[in-house]
Amino acid sequence: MEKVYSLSVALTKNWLRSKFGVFFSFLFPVVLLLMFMALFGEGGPVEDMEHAPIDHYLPGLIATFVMVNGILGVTINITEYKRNGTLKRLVASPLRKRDWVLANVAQQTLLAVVMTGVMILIAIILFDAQVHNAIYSLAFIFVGAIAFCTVGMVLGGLLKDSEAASGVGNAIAFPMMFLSGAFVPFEMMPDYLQTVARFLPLYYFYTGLQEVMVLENPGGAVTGFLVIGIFAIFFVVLAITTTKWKDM
Amino acid sequence: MERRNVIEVQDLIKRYNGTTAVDGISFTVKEGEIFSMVGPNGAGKTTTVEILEGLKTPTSGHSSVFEHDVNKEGHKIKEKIGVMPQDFNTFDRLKAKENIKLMADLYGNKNVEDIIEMVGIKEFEDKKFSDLSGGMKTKVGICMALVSDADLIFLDEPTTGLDPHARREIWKIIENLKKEGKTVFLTTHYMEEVEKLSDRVAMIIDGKIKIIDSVKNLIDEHGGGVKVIVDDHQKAIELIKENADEVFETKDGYITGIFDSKNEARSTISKLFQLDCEVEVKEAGMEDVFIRLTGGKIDEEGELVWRKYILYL
Repeated sequence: MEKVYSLSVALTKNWLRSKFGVFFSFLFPVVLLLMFMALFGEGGPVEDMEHAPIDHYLPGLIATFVMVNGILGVTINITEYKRNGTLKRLVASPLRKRDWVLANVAQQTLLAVVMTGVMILIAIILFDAQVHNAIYSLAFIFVGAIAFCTVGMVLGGLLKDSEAASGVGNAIAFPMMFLSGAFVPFEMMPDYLQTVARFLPLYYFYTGLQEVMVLENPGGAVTGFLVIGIFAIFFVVLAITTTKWKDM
Repeated sequence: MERRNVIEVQDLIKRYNGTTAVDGISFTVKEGEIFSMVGPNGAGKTTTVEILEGLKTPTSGHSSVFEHDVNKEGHKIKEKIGVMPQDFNTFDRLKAKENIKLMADLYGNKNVEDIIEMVGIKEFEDKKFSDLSGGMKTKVGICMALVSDADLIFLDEPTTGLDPHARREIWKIIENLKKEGKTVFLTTHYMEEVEKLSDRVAMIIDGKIKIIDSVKNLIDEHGGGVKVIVDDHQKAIELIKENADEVFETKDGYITGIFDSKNEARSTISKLFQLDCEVEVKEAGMEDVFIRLTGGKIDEEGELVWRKYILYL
């Protein structure tokens, strides 16, 4: 565990010292939020009389950000360590593959939660967003961040370079973004797409978060919480087993 | 007393989709020696080293490090060796010392200061890795190899691309490692480096080892003797003609005598020095050995140049 901690600290420092990277990483969720509010601040495609537009859209924006950050951001990050030789030096040390995966998941999850926190804070300050069940919501975001960061670890562990990473990452992230109902109202989708959506983890993350944060119905989020939790465990195990640690 | 083998390699083969990178090589590395593997780019040096370090799976053959099979006990090997990979890189935005400390943590070693002192990086330990020069980066890489506290250190082309001054500094560090009793496995394409540092050398080309021996034996047996060059001085030319095994005149009018026997060369040279003439003595080196054994020469970039394209031998 000591090794995981040392490596997480190193990864975090290395990330935080890229001023450019940090700036844009924090900018992305904020721009996403502001853009959405500029478009639908006066009411979106869905009639939701009970909730303000910000409350209606915030869970979807959070879920989307966490997903894109994991599937694109983490994947590219890992392949970059592979390309520039940093990973090779680590592989040649006694560091276990498992510890490499866990250290990255820990660091990336923490960052995703912090960036989401900033996004929520801005939503509260600028648009007077109402966030209910703060602790439960935070726990849910945390588990979601683990789940999607590990998807990034699986892809990053298998793919060779950042070109492949952004290609594959985009191919997974964007269809999921639109199909899950996080942006495009679920009710507007044809039946077969609604069925597809129910197989996407983002759907459970987004709807669960909505139940907890907006609808004040934590009971309704139990399924989502379980699905995302199992998904997270499954992908942690998958990342540890599939990451290449030899013949890279 | 015969020193024990820390590395044993037998009939090692590595094929990557269609090409054979390492083609059935066998060798041993003895405790406490600097063992060099020299050859041009693509000869199979890095593949060999990375198989021993547990980074690559061999296609066939038996290899062991400290009697641990590379196929079965890679993890045990990794704990007992220090490594600096080819084109070494590490966390760009961490300071030199932070990188070394991280590596020390991964090996469970607390002793970082002594190593920083010994390699001599104290003055730039707080600089970001990306801000360091090539020579400084190499020194950080050596520190990161040494924090393993291992008795066997792999340095894969540590001086490639460095300027002559930085290269000499790295040589000094490597010599110190030997003095501390460490075994060093070095790969390089610089003959000067091989001559300066190694106890034994394996010459590798196209995945095959041409020859393995000590630097001294290789030069004595395959270097082609001593060259004595004199200017246009009648007495000197006569002396050369009488004693040398082979005499020829170079384009610019100098006379060159080649002596197979060092003793013969020595007595002639002492006589020449009593005359008032210019004398230049060139001892055969590893470069001569390499040319004679492989028919080629390795250029500064590590590429093989065949003899027929070499203008001046």
